Amino acid sequence: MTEISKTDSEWEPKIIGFLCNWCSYTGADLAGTSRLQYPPNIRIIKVMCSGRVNPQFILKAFQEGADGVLVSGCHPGDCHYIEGNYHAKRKLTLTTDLMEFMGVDPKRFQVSWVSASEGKKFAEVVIKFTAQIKELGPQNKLTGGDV
Amino acid sequence: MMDFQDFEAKIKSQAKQWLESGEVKFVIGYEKSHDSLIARPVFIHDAKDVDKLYWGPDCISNLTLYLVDEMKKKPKRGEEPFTHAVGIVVKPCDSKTIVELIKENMVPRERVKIIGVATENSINPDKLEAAIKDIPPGKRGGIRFIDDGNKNYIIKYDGGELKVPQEELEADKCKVCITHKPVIHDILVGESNEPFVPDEFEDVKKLEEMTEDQRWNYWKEHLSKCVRCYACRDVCPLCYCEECVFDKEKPFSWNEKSVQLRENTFYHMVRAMHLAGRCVDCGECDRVCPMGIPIREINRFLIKRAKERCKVFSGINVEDKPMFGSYDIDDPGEEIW
Amino acid sequence: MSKLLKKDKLKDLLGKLSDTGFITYGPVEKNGTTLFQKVKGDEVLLNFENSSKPPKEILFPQTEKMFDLTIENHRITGTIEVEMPSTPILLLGIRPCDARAIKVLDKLFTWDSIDPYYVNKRERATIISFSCTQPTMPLDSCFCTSVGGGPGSGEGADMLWTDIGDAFLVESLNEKGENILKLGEGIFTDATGDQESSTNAAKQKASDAIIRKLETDGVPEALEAAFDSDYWTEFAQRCLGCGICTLLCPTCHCFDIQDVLANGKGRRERVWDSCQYPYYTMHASGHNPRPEKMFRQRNRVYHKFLYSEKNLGLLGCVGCGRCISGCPVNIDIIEVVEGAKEAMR
Repeated sequence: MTEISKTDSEWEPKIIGFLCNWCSYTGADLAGTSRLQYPPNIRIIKVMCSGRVNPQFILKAFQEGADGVLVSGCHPGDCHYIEGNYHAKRKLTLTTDLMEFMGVDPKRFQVSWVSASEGKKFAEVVIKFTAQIKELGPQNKLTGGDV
Repeated sequence: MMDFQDFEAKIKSQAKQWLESGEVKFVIGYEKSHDSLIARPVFIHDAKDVDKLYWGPDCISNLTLYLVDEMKKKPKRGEEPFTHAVGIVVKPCDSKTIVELIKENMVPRERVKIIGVATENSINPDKLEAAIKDIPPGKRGGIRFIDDGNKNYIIKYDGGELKVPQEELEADKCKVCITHKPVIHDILVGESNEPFVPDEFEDVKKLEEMTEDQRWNYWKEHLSKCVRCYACRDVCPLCYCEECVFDKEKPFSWNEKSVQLRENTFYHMVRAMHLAGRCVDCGECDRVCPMGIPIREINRFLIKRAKERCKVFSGINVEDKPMFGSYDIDDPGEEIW
Repeated sequence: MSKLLKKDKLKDLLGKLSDTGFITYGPVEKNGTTLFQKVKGDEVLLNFENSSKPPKEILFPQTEKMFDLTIENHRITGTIEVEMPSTPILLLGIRPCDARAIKVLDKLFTWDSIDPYYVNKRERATIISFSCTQPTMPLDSCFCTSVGGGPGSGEGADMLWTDIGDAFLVESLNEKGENILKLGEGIFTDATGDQESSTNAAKQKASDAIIRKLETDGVPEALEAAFDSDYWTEFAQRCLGCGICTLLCPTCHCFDIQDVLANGKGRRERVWDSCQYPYYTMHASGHNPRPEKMFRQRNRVYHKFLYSEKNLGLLGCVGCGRCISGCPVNIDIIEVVEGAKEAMR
């Protein structure tokens, strides 16, 4: 496998998606079974709840070379564990703030609420987010590439 | 005016009383050695040693760290759980840490006996070092302070004294201190009439006004100096995990040991996140950093944001809910798609 | 005979040396901290308090690549040796204590086996010490005179420069130093006898200005006897367990080796480690022979004042005072060692 250089015109962003098992992952499944098209840049990691996503998962993903990170969970009030996504909201919005404060573009990190029946919304979120990351270009601050 | 000698005497007599009655197993306080510029922690186990205790504006370190260490000790299998109490001397900022520790169930209220000392400001060791250049070398250790009532310190050393305005020595954290009285205490020593001044986060605002790249360059400069001695973690009383994520090697390491910008940034961001909404701005991380990294600014930014976003303000009331142990349905989240 | 270098000529000298291939490292100020970094000329600090991080990092970097790994199909298939360059390095403005510390490192890295990474850099390096006669030195925590050094000591260095106002009095101590004199011909001038005697007076004055003293006689014996004493528990109570005292020590040399694999590339590197960390002695079985701070602090003191002398024939402490001024809770090595002697009396 040849590494594509990040300045290459063929550059495609790498996006890591943490999806909750009960809503968003099923939503992504629905997008697939409904044959909805969305960019293949997203690599999905299933977690049991968006509340499981520790801020260090996100920072680690960036460190390992992700250009964008998406966390998706159930809509507020719909959490399988009653309140997991409320905890996620607190933690993750603060993580966005911290990224901004450290000088990393917070647009690279996105939280979204996608329910199991919203296959269409999931595809839209991925399309919109991929376009946003493409515009921002490669992320090289947290990977240590910018020295 | 702060009468440090009087405070010291009161601390000593209270410690003595608790130790003699057996109410506490030991007292954590400050002592001043012959050679040290500032006071250092001391553990008094015996009532006859209470004379070691010292009080002055150079009592800087946050002693609650040792309180957590003691509370973490577990009895051997089959033995009764520990119930002994510990006495501790705290400044207003340190007392906020105790509130936070009680909130998080790390310290049971009945196992800590608090001597709260009202203070108006503590000093910054670097500024002190610069201010006492005129004192002949060899006499700078073991200096004593007197408050002259006109916002000056009279610094007494062997063979002379020196008058220095308090403002010149004041630690940065004291300039934005919101309470000059311990928020939790069993015994209060001294009192302060300093008005309550709300913290405006001017230092954080200055950074927030920069552009993204300016901020990144600012942090890049600072974080590339980090030697990862982990003193900022080890000194923090709220970093009490049994095993820190940065020490963990099984099943894998979260962070490489390599000391380079990439790993340093990860360390500092994760460390700050772990303290978001909990940090009480005692300023210890900033003080201990051997490379002069302004760690406090990251913490203060998160204090500010936790306050704005989640209405959480740490270290004020033991009845408050901890930041990450609770939530509010109305927490803002406009940026969520 | 000694030579003289006018301060305004320093840039010329560095320029000339850089033309012959020298890479110069010197003290610079960065955000209020003194650091040793690559320099060109003007930014070199001539009057500075000693750097917080010792200059040993130039010869023995905190993170150092040992070799690259080749990876095929997710398996490590071989190694690629790193290049061993031959460009000369100049270490400018090393304090005498740090130069003496390099002697300890020399012994250590050639002790039972030769360490190619260190030795390569060491052989290329020319060390220029600055005597601590400047007004910023000595610091309150300095105690080099007690452990065999001094503010005007040239031990471990190739050249010793002493500040005498608008110029440096230059003493060359060996062939490497002579080489610099030769390369800088025309830039160095001859020093007068007056200047030499004023240099010696300045050195003596700096030496007298060091107030902290440690009586090293009887320390090894006391330490041998004190191993199981309760004394260690007592003083280590307030230790935080951070690594400041060891990471900032100019003679500390422990490192950890790790493989870093990412993005289809891999490398083996060594990183400074500290005996103050609980994981330093952790066995694979989970047993830790130094489970508490007291054992780890004790080890540090023993290593400096007993083991180093036994194994390398040199004291492991050069009296730079970094561990004293850097310690957040004022664990003072002089006090600790004196205390151990006292406890054994």
